[in-house]
This record gives sequence, C-alpha cells and structure tokens, in this order.
Amino acid sequence: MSPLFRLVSMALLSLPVLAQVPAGPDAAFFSREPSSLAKLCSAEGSRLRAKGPCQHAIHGHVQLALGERPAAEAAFAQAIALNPDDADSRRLIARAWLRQGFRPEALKAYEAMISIDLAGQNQKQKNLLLRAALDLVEVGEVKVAAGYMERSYQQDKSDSSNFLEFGRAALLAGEGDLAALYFARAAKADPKDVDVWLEITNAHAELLLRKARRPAAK
Amino acid sequence: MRSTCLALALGCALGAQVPDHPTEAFFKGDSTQVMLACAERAASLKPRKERVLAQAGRAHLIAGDRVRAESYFQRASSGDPDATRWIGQARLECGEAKAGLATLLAVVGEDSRAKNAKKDAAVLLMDFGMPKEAEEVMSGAFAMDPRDWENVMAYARACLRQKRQDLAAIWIARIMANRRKNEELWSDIALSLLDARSER
Repeated sequence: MSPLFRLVSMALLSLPVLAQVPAGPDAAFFSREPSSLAKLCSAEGSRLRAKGPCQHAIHGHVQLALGERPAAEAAFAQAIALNPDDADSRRLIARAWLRQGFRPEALKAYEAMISIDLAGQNQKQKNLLLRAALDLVEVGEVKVAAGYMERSYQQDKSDSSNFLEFGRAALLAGEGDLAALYFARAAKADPKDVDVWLEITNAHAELLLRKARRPAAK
Repeated sequence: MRSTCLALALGCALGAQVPDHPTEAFFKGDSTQVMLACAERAASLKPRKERVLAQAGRAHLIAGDRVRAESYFQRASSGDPDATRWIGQARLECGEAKAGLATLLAVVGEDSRAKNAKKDAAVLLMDFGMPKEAEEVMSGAFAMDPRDWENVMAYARACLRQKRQDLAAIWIARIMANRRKNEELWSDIALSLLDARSER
C-alpha cells in the first residue's frame, strides 16, 4: 500500500459523522443508546476542532471501545500527525489502549508519551511520568507504574502532591506497600502541610469504605 | 490478662499518633490506625480550620467513634459550605441517610456564592440514590452560573453512574444552549458515556 493511499484511507476512516448531530441538540438526542451517542459526540468534538489532537484521540478511544480498531488507529494517527509533541493527546491514546485491554499497544503508547522531547522541562516530564504511573497502577501494571513513578521522584523529591496522588492510587489498587513508600515521601517533603495529612487520611478512609461495601475485597 | 489489656490499650493509643519522623513502616500499619493518626495530625496543625475538622470527624465516624466524630463536627459547623459538605458526606457514607441529607441541604442555604459546594452536594446526593433532592440542589448551583459546563458534566456523570441517562440528558441539553460549539464539552460527553458503559 502506497503511503499516499494509506494516508487518504486513514483520513477517510476517521472522518467525523457530520449529518446526525442536530444544530440544537435536545434531551431526546442525548437519551439515545449510549454507544452510538458517544460516537456521535466524539465525532462532533473532532468536527468542531479539526486541528485538535485531543478531540481526535477521544474519537479514536470511542471507536476502539466499539470494536472499530482500524478507525480508531486512523484517529490516533491523525491526532499524532497534528502535534506529535502534545502530551495530553498522547496520554488519551495510551489510556484508550489500556482501558480496552490492549496491553502491548498501551505500554508502547506510554513510552511514546514520556519520550516526548520537552527540552529539559523537568516539571512537565515528572508530571508525564506521574500520569503514566497513575493509569498503570490503576489496572494492576504495578511494576511498570512503580518504575515510572520512581523516575518522577528522582526528578523532584519535593513534590508532595504528586507523591500523594500516586500513593492514593496505589492504596486503592491494593498496593499498600507502594502506597506507604509514597505517603512517607510526601510526609518527609512537607511535614507541616495540613493537606498532606488530610490526603492520607482520606485515602485510607476511601479504602475502608470500599472494603465495607465489598467485604471480600483485598 | 491485665497486662494484655494494658498492652492493647497502649497500642491503640500509640497507634493513633504520627511519629515525629514517620517512615514507610508507619504508613504500612493498620488502615484505621493510620487514618486516625493522620487525621489527628491534620487537626493539630490547623485546629480552627473548619474543613480540616470536618474531615477529621469523618475519619472518626468511619472508624466507628461517633462521640469523637460529633465533637469534631460541632467545632466545624459554623457556616463553611465545604466543611458542611464533608460532614454530610460522612453521614451518608456511614449509613445516616436522613442526617446526611439534612446536612447537605443546609449547604444550599449557607453561602449564596458557593456554587461548587452545591454541585458537590448534588453529586453526593445522586451517588447515594436521592435523585429528587440532588436535582433540587443542582438546580440551585446551575442558577448561579448557567454557563459552567464542567459543573453540569460532573453532575451528569453522577446521573450516568446511577443509570439515570434520562436526567443526564436533560442537563446536557440545558448546557448545550450556551455551549453548542464547545468541542471539549462534546468530547467530555463522549468519555462520560464510555466510562458509564465500562462501569456496567
């Protein structure tokens, strides 16, 4: 297949559905069957912002969830082509693969996301690593998540809010030891910050409530 | 026997305190003890801050210590909508539906500018299966800022979690009157529908 043919096919596959969203959508429109409605809405988002990488990434996610992989891949390719260095759309793509159970594709997409050239902007880099770690720990990819989070920590050992966010996610995913490591790091970084202690309190409160709702939970 | 009881009592007392230099080992401890110790530390750092006291009270209520919880709630009840929302949430979470509802409805009257606290209260009421009351509170939040599509979507997601797409549809259509050309809104609706689909 020639590159031109491939590009045209991909563009056609990812074309948003134009005709089915009314000018003034009412409650009846939003009461449609959820899957087809999601597709119409994500297509409308892409249509309204044809140059928005995030809109195309979300449209791809919806298509992937509906089992339309070629169309999803076309939308993802379009998102990347619009701005290869856009971290938000890269994350949306990675999450889409992850949430639909495509592990290898997801891990590859997260690698691509954290490899974006940020020209030495450590602040952004550590946050990208955190985002990847949060998504991955939530679905049980603990080893990869812990690796990303450690890299984030090595870039900035004082960012207690990032450590708390990851600690909470790890705790609720059943990874108590990993959570403890990051809660301890947060407490060390900001021992006088009341929100550090409240966040840890609330993370454990959430865990206890979940266990009470589901007694058999881990 | 006496020494065992003493050891247990000491253990409980010590367990609810954060050490001066808390290590990983401390945070690996029993969840209830870590929660209570951290709540106490927070309250000791900001003993007059109502939202802090409300969250400390919530921790005690979840741990089953109603007396301690009520003591914190009393200290936190002088009109901060955020604190009131935390208290209402705690009561709902711990099975006190009637008291929780009354507390959350009080949020509506506390501060006429607190649209986010109202939205949060509406989301909680919806999540706890009180759609009629949730609708009432959300209507109040919406009246304060009919262009705030993010608050409306937060509430619409709660409706979807409760399998009330009929209510979500009404709210989304309402916000569309002002935000028809907002691409982020359309994308957010799509993702919310996907999330609701995967939660089924």
